[in-house]
Amino acid sequence: MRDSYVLGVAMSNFGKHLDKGLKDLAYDPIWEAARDSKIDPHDIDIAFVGNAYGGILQGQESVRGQVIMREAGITGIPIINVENACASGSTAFYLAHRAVASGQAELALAVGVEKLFCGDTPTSLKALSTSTDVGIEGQMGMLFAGIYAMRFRGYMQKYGVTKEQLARVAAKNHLHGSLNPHSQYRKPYTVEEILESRTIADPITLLMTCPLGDGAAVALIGTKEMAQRMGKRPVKVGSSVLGSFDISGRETLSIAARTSQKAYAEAGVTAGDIQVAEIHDAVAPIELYLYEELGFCEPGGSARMIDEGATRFDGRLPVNTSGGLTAKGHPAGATGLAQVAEIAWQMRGEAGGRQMPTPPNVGMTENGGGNMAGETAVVAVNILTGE
Amino acid sequence: MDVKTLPRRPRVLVGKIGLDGHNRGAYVVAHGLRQYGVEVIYTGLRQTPATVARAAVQEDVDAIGISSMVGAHVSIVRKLRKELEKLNAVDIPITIGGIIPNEDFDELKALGVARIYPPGTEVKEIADFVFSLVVEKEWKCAVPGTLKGRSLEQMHLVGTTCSKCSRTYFPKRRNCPFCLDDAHVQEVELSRTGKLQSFVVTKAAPPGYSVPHAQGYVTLGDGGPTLFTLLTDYDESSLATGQSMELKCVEVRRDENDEPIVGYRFKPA
Repeated sequence: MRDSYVLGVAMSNFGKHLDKGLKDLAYDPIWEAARDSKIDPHDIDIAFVGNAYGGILQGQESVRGQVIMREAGITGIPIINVENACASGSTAFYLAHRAVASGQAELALAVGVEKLFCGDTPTSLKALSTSTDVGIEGQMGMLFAGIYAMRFRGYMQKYGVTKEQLARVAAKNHLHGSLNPHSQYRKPYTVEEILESRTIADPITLLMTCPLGDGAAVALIGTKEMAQRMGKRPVKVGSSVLGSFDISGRETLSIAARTSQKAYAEAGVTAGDIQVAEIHDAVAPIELYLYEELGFCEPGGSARMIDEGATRFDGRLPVNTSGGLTAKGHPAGATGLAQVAEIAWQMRGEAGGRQMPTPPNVGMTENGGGNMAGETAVVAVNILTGE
Repeated sequence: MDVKTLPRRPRVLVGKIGLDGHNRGAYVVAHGLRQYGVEVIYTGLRQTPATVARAAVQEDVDAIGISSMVGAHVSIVRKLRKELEKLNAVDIPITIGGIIPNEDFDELKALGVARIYPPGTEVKEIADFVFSLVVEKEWKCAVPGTLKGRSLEQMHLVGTTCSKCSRTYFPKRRNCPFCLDDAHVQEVELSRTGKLQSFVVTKAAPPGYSVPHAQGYVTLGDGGPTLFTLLTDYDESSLATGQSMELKCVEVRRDENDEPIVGYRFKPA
C-alpha cells in the first residue's frame, strides 16, 4: 500500500437548511474542496458518497450519490453509495483512502451529506432510531441519548464524576463552536446554563446533546505528488480503520479502544503522540469516557483533564476544536468528513479563531455509528500526520 | 386438524347443571368430539356448579362444555365461574351450547365464556377449538421468535445455547458467533429473572412511545445473556443498578387481524 494524502477539505455551515436538498448542500463543499486541492476536477477517478437517512427522510432511497454528483457535474466515474449510519462520512473517507493507497485510483473524492430537518422532529427521531436492528432493539424505542446515558452512568459511578464536570465538557465544546463559523450553535454557554437546560436522559441535559442538523463535508484524497503540488502543508493519512461491534464475546476491550489501538499501530504512533482529536461527542459527556478508551489518560483521569482545560483548543491535547457534534452539529453522514476537515485545518493553520497556538503534527478522528448488541455498531478511526 | 398431529390427546368435560333434562345436545357433542379423538368426560344430568368445577379440576380437562336449554345459562355460568375461582382454576376455558339468545352473548363473554355454540353449530367447529387448546401457541412477538408459553403469565424468553463453548445468546440464533459453528446450538428457555446492569429514564422518546421512557440492560440469571429491554412497573426514584428484575410479558399492540402481538419488559422483582 502506498501513502495517501488529504488534499482539499471543505464543509457547508451546519444548521437548519429547510430550503436546501442533499444535492444543494453538497454542491459548494465539493467544489470548494476541488479548488482547495488545486487539481483538475476531470482527474477525479472515483467518488464515495456517504449519507445515512436520505432514503427515509428525503425519499431518495437509491442512487443518492449519483443524484449528488449529477448536481456537482462530475459524472462518468465510479460513484459508490456509502451508508454506515452516523459513520457514513468516515466510511466514505476510509474507502477513498483505500482506493488511493491500493493504487486503484490516483484521486478519490469522499462526500458526506445529511439532511435531518424535515419539518417534523418525530419523523427525524424515528429515522435515527433505525440505526439498529429494527427487529430487535428498534422494538424498544431506542434513543441515542438514552444509550449514551447508560454507557456513561457506570463510568460516573466508578470514578465519582460530577454533573458539573459533564457540563464543563459541553461548555468547552460550545466555546469552540462559538469560534467556528461553520458551527450550528455559535454561542458560548456557561456550566450553569448547561445544567439548567431541560433534562433529556439524566444526567444528560439538552445543551449537552448534539442538535439535529443539515450539512455536508468533503475531502479529496490523492497521492503524495498531488499533496506537494497543492501548495499547502501535506497531510498524510497515517491510518484509516473501521471497526464493528462484537457479539461473539471474544473482545475484552470496547469498540472505541480496540479500533483506536489498531489505528495507532497501523500509523506507527501511540495515544501519547496524538496532539489533536475530533471525537464522537453525540452527547458531550461521552468525551470523558472516550478520553480513557482512546488512551488519552489513565483510568479515571478524564475528569481531571476537563477540569484542567487540557482539551481546550489552547490546552495540551485539544479535543473537538470544531465544537464537536455538540456545538458544531451532527448531520450524521457529514460528521466524519467534517472531523477530517477540522484536523487538516488545524495542521495547516487554517482554523481561524480556534486555531491551536502551534499547528499539530499528529491528529485523529473517531466517529461512531449505530448501535447493536450493546455496542456502537461502527467505529471509524483515522490518524492524520502533518509533514 | 387431526388429533394425531397434536402433542397429546385433548380432554374435555361435558356437563349439564341444574334442573334441565334436555340432554340430546350434550350427547351429540360428547359423541361427536369422541369421534374426533377427544377424550370426553360426561357428568350426566342435574349436577351442581361445585361438582362440575371439582370434576374439571380432578380430571385436568382442557375445557368445560356446558349445555343449557332452559334459559338459566347466565346464572349457571356465573356460579360455575365462582366455583372455579375457589379452586384457583379460572384458566380452564368455559364453553356453552344450547338455546342461548344472541342478546346474552356479551354478558356471557364478560363472564369469561370462551366460546358460545348455538343450535346449528358443527361439531367440527367445537373440535377445532378444543384442538387449539393443546397446540403450543405460536405467539406473534414484537421481536420475532423471542417468547413462548401458553399465556402472558407463563411466557418465557427463548434463546440459544452452544454446547461447545457454553455461551448463551438472546435472541435465538442459527449459529454460535463464538465458535462460528451451527452444529452445537439448541433452543433454550431463559431465566425469568436477572440483574439490572444499566438503565435510563428518558424525557424524550421516539414516536409511539410515552414519556418518561425507561430502558435498561438486564443480565439474565443462570449465566444468561444481557439484553436491551424496556422497563415497566418501576418507581423511578428507587431504580438502581444491580437490582433484581423479573420478566413481564405484555400485549404490545394488535395486528391487522386483531391478533395480539406480545413483547417482553422487565420490572423490579
